[in-house]
Amino acid sequence: MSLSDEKIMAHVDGELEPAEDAKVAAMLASDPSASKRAEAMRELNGLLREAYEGALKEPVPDALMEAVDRRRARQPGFRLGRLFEGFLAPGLAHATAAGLLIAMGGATGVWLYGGTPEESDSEMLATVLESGRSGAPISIDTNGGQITPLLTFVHRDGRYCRQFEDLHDGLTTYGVACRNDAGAWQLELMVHTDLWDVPADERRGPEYQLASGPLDRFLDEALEAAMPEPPLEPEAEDKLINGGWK
Amino acid sequence: MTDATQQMVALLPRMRRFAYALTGSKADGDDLVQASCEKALRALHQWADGTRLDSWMYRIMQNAWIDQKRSQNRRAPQVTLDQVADVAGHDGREDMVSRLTLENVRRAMTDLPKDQSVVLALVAVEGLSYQEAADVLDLPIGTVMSRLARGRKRLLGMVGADLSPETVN
Repeated sequence: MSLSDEKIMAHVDGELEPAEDAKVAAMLASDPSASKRAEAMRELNGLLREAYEGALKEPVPDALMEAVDRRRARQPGFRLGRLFEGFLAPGLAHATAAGLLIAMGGATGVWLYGGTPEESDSEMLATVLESGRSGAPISIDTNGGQITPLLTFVHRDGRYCRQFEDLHDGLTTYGVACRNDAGAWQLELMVHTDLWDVPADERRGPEYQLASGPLDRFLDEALEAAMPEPPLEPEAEDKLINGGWK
Repeated sequence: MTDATQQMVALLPRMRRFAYALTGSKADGDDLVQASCEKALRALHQWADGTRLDSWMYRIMQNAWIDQKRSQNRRAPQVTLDQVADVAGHDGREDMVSRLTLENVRRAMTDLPKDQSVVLALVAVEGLSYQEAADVLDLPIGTVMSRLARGRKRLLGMVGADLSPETVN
């Protein structure tokens, strides 16, 4: 009895019961033509997997993510989720062990970057926060640096606040800034994903604290404490931006 | 986010791979995934919670794809810019030969009869068992097997001359 293509195929695909599978394997061993066909099928399977694995491995485009969940881009859970990704980056382990660096505004809040490191940076950030839509990255230099407002919410004290992501010279910073009555954006919280990104003298400033617990919990708690209601919907955010945050 | 949309998000990478296998192009594949997700979300009440969302999504995708193909009036397969870009932009691990081979596989898949490429995509690309594929397509398992065997034979004929001369008729 010779082996049918279907039988060989079922063997290659691992679809046969153990007893039958052993029988087919034995027949293949003594049938060079059939075993060649089996080998060709195996190779074809490998090629088919390889031909399409690119789509599996690369990140899913945002447009698809949002087709499934339109509010996804604006949900704090998701954005915090993205924050976590950064924390899993190589080199983070030692930062976590040492305690992560958190910049926090005190009762009065810290002015954007406190005038450091460069005035133009804080102006740039303030401009982005004032006029950028959540989820839309805005280029800030010619080296791929960008700031992305992530979401807009009303602080429990009534101010409008925005969480943002700042990619700069390959470093990522996450922050929350709130707009005061005079129309200036004040930095409330800033998180560096790597302790060593920050110059030592800045690390000793009074506004810096080391988070003792895991950073994700810290961020969750900080946002929860500041944000009694869910973030604003896109329409409400647009209205604020167009209306000068009145 | 509901449990179903969460599951759907988690399935997106596999759905993209399946769609890529069906359409032969990532851009067309993503359009198919998007259309299928929208369809699924509208029909979410038809999905019985507790059953497998992936099988349900595969079914919606292959139906949407068949519909699309029908409306395209069986136009001749063409190499799109996207396919060219896929070849040119592939990562450097693949040498020229295997790059061309993979591109041939993708093109040959789009040249197969639809019912054969669907079972190949489900079983050989997505790794479903024959029974799972039969459930997705609502076909007897024997039909799945015969389509799979015919599809493989044809595919080998198109791309596999160097793999196994005997299988080329």
